[in-house]
Amino acid sequence: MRYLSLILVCLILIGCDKVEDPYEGIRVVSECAGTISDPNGNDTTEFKSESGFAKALIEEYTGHTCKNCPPQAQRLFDWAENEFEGKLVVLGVHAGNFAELVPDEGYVTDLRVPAGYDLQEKYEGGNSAPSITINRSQNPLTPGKWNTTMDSLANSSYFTSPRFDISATSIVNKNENKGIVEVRVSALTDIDVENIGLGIYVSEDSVIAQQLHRDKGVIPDYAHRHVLRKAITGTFGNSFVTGSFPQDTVISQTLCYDLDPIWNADNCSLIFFISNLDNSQLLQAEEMHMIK
Amino acid sequence: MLKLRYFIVFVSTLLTYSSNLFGQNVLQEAAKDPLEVHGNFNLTGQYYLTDSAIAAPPVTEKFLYNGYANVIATKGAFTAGLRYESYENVLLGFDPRFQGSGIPYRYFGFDNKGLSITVGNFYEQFGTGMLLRAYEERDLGLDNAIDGIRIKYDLGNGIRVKGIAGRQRFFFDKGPGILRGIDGEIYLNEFLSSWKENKFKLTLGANFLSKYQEDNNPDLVLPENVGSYSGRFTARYKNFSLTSEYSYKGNDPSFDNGYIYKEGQGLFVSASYSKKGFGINLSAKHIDNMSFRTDRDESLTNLLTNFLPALTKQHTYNLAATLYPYATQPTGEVAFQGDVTFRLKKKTWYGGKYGTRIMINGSAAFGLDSTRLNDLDSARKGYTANFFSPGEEEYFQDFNITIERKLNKKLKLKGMYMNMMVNNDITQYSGLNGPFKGKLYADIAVLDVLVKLNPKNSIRTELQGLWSKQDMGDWATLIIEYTYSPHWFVAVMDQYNYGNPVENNQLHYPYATFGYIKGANRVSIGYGRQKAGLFCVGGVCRVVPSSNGMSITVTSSF
Repeated sequence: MRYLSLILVCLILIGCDKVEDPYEGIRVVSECAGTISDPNGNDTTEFKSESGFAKALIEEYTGHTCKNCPPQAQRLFDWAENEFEGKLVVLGVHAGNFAELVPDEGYVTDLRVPAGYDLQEKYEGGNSAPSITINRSQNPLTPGKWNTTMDSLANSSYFTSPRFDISATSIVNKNENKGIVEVRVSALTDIDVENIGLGIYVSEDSVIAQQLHRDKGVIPDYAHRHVLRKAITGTFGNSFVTGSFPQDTVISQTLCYDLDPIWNADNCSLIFFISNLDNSQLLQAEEMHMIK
Repeated sequence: MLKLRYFIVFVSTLLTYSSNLFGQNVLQEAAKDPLEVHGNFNLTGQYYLTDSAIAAPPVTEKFLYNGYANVIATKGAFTAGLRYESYENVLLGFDPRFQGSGIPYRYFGFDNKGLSITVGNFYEQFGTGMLLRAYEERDLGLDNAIDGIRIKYDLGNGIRVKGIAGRQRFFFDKGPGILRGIDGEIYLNEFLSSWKENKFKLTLGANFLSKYQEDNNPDLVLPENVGSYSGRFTARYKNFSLTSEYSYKGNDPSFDNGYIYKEGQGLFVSASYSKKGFGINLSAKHIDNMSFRTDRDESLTNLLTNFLPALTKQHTYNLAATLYPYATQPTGEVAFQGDVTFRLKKKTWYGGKYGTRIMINGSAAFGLDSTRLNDLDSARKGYTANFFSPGEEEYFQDFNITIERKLNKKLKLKGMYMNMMVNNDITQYSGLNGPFKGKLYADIAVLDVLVKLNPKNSIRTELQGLWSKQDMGDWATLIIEYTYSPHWFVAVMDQYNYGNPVENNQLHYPYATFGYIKGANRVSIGYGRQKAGLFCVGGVCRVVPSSNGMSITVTSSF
């Protein structure tokens, strides 16, 4: 029995590590603690970017009276799903003439948001719809130029050379219409950019509203894909890192926001982008479901 | 790593101590015994046809199979074995990471004077398995065998101890975590001389299990060593029996629990009474954050360390077994089950000439009575839960009654009625109509008729019906089996989803099979449609996709 007691003591000694502070040395306790009064209604979703590749943000300027937009949007989503195998984050920005309300003709759902106005103003998107920007690295491109640009992007090393590892925690409380998002960004290499910004957007998929279609005419219950709903940060991102961002450094930011009751949170996503604030171009993007 | 080294030193010491017991020349002893070689073979293959009506996915290889063969050699105190497995390519519904062929299971063992040592792969269970159950269930694609060292020692006087260390199987590789554990059991009626004749029988047991996995998470400080322990007893007095196990697990953030640092605990209690013609069993359990794996980031049935049985009846009739079975919720549930079996006397007006057997079963599973905590606070505990207190949300409910009666020497009847509720927000079943939300209520009735035409020929017929207003609506099933003993059998089955609210999905699923059995060899060939569903064993489930095609099964043993 002495041997048995010895064995048991040995095992107990090597057996377990009790962690009192899961975040010790990694990050501070959330600035948003206390935002939600009753956490019983919380839905918490964890996200971690897939290692080994970077995603690009495609912003499509569109509108409900743009009859060419639905087939071209489908083209983008097909690309995202097939050729690019999930490496594209597609966002529908309803802005410009084609997004204006026309109540007499039944176009009564306003999908425009302040962030969309900012983007339209800066990039002049929406004046000719559909048009897209890729990581905001050029002015909006009309569909005739998409093939060449996308081919060039596919053949570049962008997707296989991620510069950041992005992980996040999304907490949503539908009862209180509150959301908290904590984004953690780790530099995979030394980042030589002076002013780095972090942007967080809310998008909603399958928003049902009337849409004009080139081939099908007016579709009263069209499902609008990945509609820009809100910029939780500033439209071009909040200042995140200044000076240097050395390899293996992890920096996090936590933000609280209100859920608009008209959103279906189950269909919403959070889009993260890391930008160069000096020229507004994006360095990398990611997307996660707001609720698992 | 330092702690691991200590453990290796400890195991080495134990082995050295154990070797003192091999005083006699066991090789000479073994030489006198004959070499015995046993084994078995199993092949299940399917030729797949495209069938868009039931959303059967296309299979580019057309033919897929799962096959294996075990060979076990024994000579005296020595035993060695291996299993060759081949999945070229793996059947639909099994994890594609099984693809390939090789020998993932091999071992060598030695038994002498109560000491048993196994090196290589082995299966093992501590107590009821709440902390450790390494086992295989091939139909689930589950094999969490441990590759390492196991030592069992029967110290005599009713005391048995076993220790294990190793890694678990992960397809054709091993998982990243290391398991170390010890289990002891004492049978007091052997240990205490004054209890030897006592009608009250008591067995006590306890175990400790620890897993090690490197912390490779940049966002959280993860515990690399997760400890757990449990205590159990089984008491018997005449016709009564009471068994219970309590288990505790230290903080173990994982994919399953949303990486929270809450400790886990579980309690299982089962009481039974039986006498001739009557038996009753009542059981209950509280499971709170007890998902345990040797890779905290894994899911499904991969690298499971423990086994948490569902406290629900394991139905065998097709509609009840495959449409809406219940899988244990390891993150938390409180469940109850009651079973009563009795026999009505034979040669009475109510029992009939041969007697009548009645089985009544009821079970219910609930969520935890819990309160959520702020997910971003410094402790990241997730929630608090009241011990053994069912929450407001009911997960599953089943009441069923089975009546068996033999009418005469040629005719035997069995009828079953079942009323069930499944909360699909928890079970997340998704059939041909896609996923649905909320609760499903269903009634199921079965009539099973066995007619023995003569000693060689028999026909068994099953009529089954499922009626529900939710999901895919009403189903009917007809099975006719003809057996020509001892070698041949043929069966036809049709499942008809006649009440599906989506008219295009009101489909038939016909299936025919025949087979030949001779000695230890069995060959069967089947052809037809198989609906999508869940296949569960003991509360652990695998999603089975719909398919159409011809299947072949060959089994043999020697």
